[in-house]
Amino acid sequence: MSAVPELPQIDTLVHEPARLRLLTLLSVLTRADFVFLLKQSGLSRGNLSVQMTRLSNAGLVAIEKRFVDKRPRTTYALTPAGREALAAYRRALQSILALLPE
Amino acid sequence: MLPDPRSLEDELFQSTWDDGLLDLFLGVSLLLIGVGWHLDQIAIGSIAPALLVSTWAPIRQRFVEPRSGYVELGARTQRKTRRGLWAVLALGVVALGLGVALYLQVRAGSSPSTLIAGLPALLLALGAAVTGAVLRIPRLGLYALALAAAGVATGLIGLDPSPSMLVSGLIITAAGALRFSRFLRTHPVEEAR
Repeated sequence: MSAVPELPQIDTLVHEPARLRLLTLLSVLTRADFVFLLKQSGLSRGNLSVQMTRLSNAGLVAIEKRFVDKRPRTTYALTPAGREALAAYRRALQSILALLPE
Repeated sequence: MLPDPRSLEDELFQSTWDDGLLDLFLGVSLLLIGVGWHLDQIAIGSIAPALLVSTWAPIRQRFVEPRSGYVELGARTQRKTRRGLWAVLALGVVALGLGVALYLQVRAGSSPSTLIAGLPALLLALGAAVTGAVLRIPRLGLYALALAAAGVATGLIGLDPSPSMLVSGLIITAAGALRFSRFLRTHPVEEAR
């Protein structure tokens, strides 16, 4: 029998650094557009676009497209499922960290 | 360790004021108030806030958002900012009322103008300091100091109140213009999507 307790499952969708960065940013905002996330995350346009599509397909992020002053504006917001996924990720990480020595 | 979400939110909140537009608006407001006072048309000063509030969103939309993006901060920050700005507005109304009352007293010759000539600038300094505290922008504290210094100098020298507001308005407008032009230079328009 293993002496190591069973570790909680880490959600790899959330755990990936670029996506984790985006989810963390969105967790403290009501919504933000593509340019704001681009500037604040430091990701490339291509990477940001791919990661947001993945998060949206998984239902963690809601996308809204509209035109403002004849310019397209795509805004992103964390969904309740995204907020729960982030909270579950935090709990899992905290319980793993609690097992590690100082 | 995960970053503290509150400090991240605070940092994002503060970064939304880095473009210099607020400084520019504050400086122009002071200049309008100073010009109004100088021309004996204090109504010019009272329309300045309305004029600037109505142009704030279109100017941000035209020049700032294509460069740094559009964001709606978290509900907690929005509530806190709204409460703080209402407090600033209330303080502003009281200060304006006090300023007009003093102005009328001076015109009627019932108060020694040398003592109160610096008060409008001191009241505006208080407003700038409170706004700086609410929005957590330390440089507004520096503007408040400039206004307070101008107010004290005006009172000591015994000048009309307008030079203190014109001088501090010019300084703040110049600082705002510098910051805003640097923002426009260093933040190219990003292709939206």
